[in-house]
Amino acid sequence: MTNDPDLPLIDRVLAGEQNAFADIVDRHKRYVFTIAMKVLLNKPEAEEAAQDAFIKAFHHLGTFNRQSKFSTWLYRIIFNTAITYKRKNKRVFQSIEHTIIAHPHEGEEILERTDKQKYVQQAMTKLNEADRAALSLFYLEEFSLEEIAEITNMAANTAKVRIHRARQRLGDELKTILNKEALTL
Amino acid sequence: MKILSQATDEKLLDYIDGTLCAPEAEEIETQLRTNVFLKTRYDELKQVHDALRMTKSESPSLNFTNIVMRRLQDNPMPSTLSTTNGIILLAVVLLAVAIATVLLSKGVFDNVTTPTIDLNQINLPKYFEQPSGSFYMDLKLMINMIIVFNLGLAFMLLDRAVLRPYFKRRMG
Repeated sequence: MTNDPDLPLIDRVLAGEQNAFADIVDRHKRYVFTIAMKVLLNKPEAEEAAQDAFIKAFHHLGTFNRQSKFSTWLYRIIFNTAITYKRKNKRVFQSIEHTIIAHPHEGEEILERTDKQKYVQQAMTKLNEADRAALSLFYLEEFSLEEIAEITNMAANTAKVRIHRARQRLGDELKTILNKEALTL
Repeated sequence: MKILSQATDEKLLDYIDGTLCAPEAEEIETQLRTNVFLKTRYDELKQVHDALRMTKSESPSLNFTNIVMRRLQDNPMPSTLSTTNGIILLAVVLLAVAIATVLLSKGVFDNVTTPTIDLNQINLPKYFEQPSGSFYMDLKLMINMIIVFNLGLAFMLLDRAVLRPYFKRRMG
């Protein structure tokens, strides 16, 4: 993998330049946090899991074999970390005393979402964590099916099938939710 | 029926994703014009697809990077054996093995034993059975065991300190 843009930064970190790792964090924190959110559905836990994943990646940077992209390796770490958090049902509520909350842009985006999107997000909670994460990665359109399979510990040829099945299930769940909404009107 | 609708859903999703070949896509379009149930199912899946396309990555807290870097400073990388230290340690172990082997070959430890331990002189509480007899260890056997242990240690050091870093550099 000679065209991986993260390799020069990794080499600098391995040579002892710890501050170079901050650039790696900045580059990947959004997707790392997104994957954690899709698995955990809880912002404080996702934040904690994302931090842990970066710490683990730093400590094991020497074992990255460069057979795949660094991002794939890193996102696999956060996926496994988030799954471990989920299984332990770890409830760590991060103190917000020193946490700077993101700009209200996020609030505006929420207001702009249609009801259907809201219901789809609601239906997403019925999926298992791997399917939810795989589906989100698929629609971020930055990853190939092979990369999605590698990140979510699926076999390469089952990623597409599982993404299809997840969408079928969402379709069924959405129909159920919309029917319920119609009955309450 | 369930298998048929599963296959139909997969075809519809492939059509929505734009991954069907032209003839298959045309066939689906023809069926959508004539089959009301298929059209309904297509609309359901398309709604899901359109909603999911709005998926955006989410942002962590604004000082996320600072928090991670601070945690790294508080928890530095666990110490690992550097190549230089590993080679020095390997050299020391091999030297010790070499010295012990030379002494063994010269017969320094022949017929030498550890002091005899008389078990009759050990006073145990009354609830325990009093052992009898005595024992000693052949020092030559002990030295052989220590040499074997050190050879194992040397192989481990060779792997961790020399071979792995070398091959990792070659592959990189």
